[in-house]
Amino acid sequence: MNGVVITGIGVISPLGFDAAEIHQRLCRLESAAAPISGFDTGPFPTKYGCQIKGFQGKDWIENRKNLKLMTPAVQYGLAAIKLAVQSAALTPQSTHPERLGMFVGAGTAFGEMGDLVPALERASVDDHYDARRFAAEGMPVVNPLWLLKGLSNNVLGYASALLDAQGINTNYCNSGVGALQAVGEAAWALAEDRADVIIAGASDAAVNPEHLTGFGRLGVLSAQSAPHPFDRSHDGFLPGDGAAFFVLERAAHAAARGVQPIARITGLGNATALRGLSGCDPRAIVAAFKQALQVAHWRPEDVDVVHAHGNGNPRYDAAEAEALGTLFGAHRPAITADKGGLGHSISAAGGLSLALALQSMRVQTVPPIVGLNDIDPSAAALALVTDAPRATRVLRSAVHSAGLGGQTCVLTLESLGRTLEDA
Amino acid sequence: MKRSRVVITGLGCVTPMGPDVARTWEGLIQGRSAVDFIKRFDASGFPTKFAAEIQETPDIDLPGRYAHWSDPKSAFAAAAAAEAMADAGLKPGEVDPFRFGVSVGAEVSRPDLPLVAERIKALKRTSPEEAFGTVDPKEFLVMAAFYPATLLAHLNQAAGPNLTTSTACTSSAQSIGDAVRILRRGDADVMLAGGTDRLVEELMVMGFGLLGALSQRNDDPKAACRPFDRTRDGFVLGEGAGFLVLERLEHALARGARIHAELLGYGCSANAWRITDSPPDGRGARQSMVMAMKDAGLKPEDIDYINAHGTSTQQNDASESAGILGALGETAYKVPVSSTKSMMGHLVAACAAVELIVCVKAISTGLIPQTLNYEHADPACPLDYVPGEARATRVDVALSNAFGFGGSNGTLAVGRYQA
Repeated sequence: MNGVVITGIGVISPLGFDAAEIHQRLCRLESAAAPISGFDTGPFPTKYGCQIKGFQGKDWIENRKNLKLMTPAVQYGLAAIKLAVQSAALTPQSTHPERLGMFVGAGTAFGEMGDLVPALERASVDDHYDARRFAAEGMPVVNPLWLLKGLSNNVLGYASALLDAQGINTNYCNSGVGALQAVGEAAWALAEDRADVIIAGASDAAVNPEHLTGFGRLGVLSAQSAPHPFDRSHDGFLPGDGAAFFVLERAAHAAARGVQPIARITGLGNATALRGLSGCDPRAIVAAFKQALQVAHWRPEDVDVVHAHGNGNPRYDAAEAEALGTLFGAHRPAITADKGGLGHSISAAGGLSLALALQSMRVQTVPPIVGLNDIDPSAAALALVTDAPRATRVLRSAVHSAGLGGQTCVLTLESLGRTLEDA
Repeated sequence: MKRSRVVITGLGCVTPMGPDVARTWEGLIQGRSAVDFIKRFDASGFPTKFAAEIQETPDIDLPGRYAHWSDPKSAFAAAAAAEAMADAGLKPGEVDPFRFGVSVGAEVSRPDLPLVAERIKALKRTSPEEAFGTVDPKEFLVMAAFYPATLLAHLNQAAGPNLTTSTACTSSAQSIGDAVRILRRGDADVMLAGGTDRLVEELMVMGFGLLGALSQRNDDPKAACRPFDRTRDGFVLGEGAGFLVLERLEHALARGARIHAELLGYGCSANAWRITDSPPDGRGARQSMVMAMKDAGLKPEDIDYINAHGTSTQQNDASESAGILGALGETAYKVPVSSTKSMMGHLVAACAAVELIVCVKAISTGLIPQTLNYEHADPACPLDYVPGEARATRVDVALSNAFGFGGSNGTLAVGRYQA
């Protein structure tokens, strides 16, 4: 994978709307985990989450008619895209519209069932749902645009129109690997010369009754007030909201418009855990890392920092620790994870980790794992960053994320900033 | 770096026309319509009362717990993928697991409306805690868009790249396009790629109906889907799945596989216009086709057949015709263009995969399916839409188009395999 660089970052997260700010707050061991507000958490065993505070859709989205059809996750995504475009100094003149692409990772669209309640109440005959009655009495009171609000590719649809991005595009609904797959496949599309610039990333919102029900019943959520990745007390993750988008560019295109890239994307690896239905299998993690390293032409010793998935699920933490131990052996790169501070924003999670990986390169400092106080024996062999930020060489990093269906994705990147010249 | 050639070695589908490729193809060549009044639920009160429903439930025995961890879209996918694997002569476990990937076009499942009504009612009767306790833990996972890809990975021991694309009607064009890119760059040897969707349900009949996108020709359902015909009045919901086994040429040759066709190119663009509309000049459609031809190294004169997206909406069919003219120039008038949606409805996330299979069959049999119900010429649609009956002609290269809500466009180029 040659000549693909990152020139812009945009994040909307529970710890702020700027990668530097999020990085600093994690370095101060802050966590966004707090009692969930905005809806009744009464029925759910988990009452804590990492919510985005102080975000107003109208501050970011001009078209009020469209705004009414946008779920929070769509609004976060559009805001993060706006920030990424600004940070890359991308203008409508920068790129030919047909050479401007967009790769998006999106969460599960639930189709806004709540909006159907009035219609369903009218469809009841003798306390039973009646199809004819629904069609005659219920359907007329449903917003004619109801279906559009539930489309899973709304970030892509609205943002491509807004930016006149007519080039190659896609929308992945692929659980926790959405962001890294979107960025990685976009990088490959640039390497294949299918576009000059691609805006790639993901947005998702997991702090809502639908996710608390689904994840809660699957038993993957933490019952504590904060998640504890790789800690003895780990018992699951807390849901989070978030969005992270990046401007990816052919290096020659960035150079031609005089923009200094942040980093180079060097590799992408994909694999699938086939063990169990929400599988964790160290072999899949090892395979995904190996593929990414092979594409990057790196040896394991070349990796300075790993931004781990670290979701706080005891089985997954153990599988990830085993895989990282197998891969890196005595080399022991610095390992950090951010879900203790940011929660798990599912498809966006890998994007937030990537934003932090880029910021770690800028400041040559790796944030500690928030919530990790007492390292679990399964992770004892790893060089986990605990308690305080670690100043270290951050030239080459790997970011790992995983999905509920066993999807496993690794992205590798190399710093192109000031520190590379110094090195 | 010289990129790998990608060939198609297995085909499988479940459509309203039939539960496999043979019966689907037979129906298309005979010019049958799979559209009829909806039987799955009482649709008599809806503005549209018909669709192309899956009549025969796919005959697939999911092993062990997977029998319980399934929903209609996953069952369609499992059946179509099993046919494609058998057709390719591959048994689960025969391919190196980490060199075998899955790429699926799919959308999140929609709950049945009576079930939603029941839930809302239950919430009034019981405490929220009790209601939470009664939710089936499987439901959240099984209904997710990515679940068919997870299921296919498990059933086929495919531990390589696993992707799910959700771009409405373009989903499976892009899922197949990604599979091609992954194989060419060498990240896998075999990809099971396609799409699946279940659409004949209250929420879709209502949702698309409210948008005015569905045909309301309730007096004659079989004549309702009439792509490119001047009197067309909307699309007809279909459902089903299509999967193909895609393989690096070296891998297919090494195992002595029968090669159906070569996947020559993938093009993709965005309308960057409005969520539901396409620009009248067909620029996104044009660009998608141009990119696919460029990727494949094809000229307009090389194209023998285009399987159109052809939804039978006023806007799509005019915009697509303009796009074909833009991409092929004057040559477009000589190229047969047909829409098989006229017979089996719109399979949405699965349509591009099934229609790619149609193109492969056109190459191998020398038959092009007709556009059923095409009777009245429309000045906005000035091409040869293969009216009346299937046409016998040699097809060496075909294009398959898919355009969707949200504005994504995908085109796949497929050709006769030549060593």
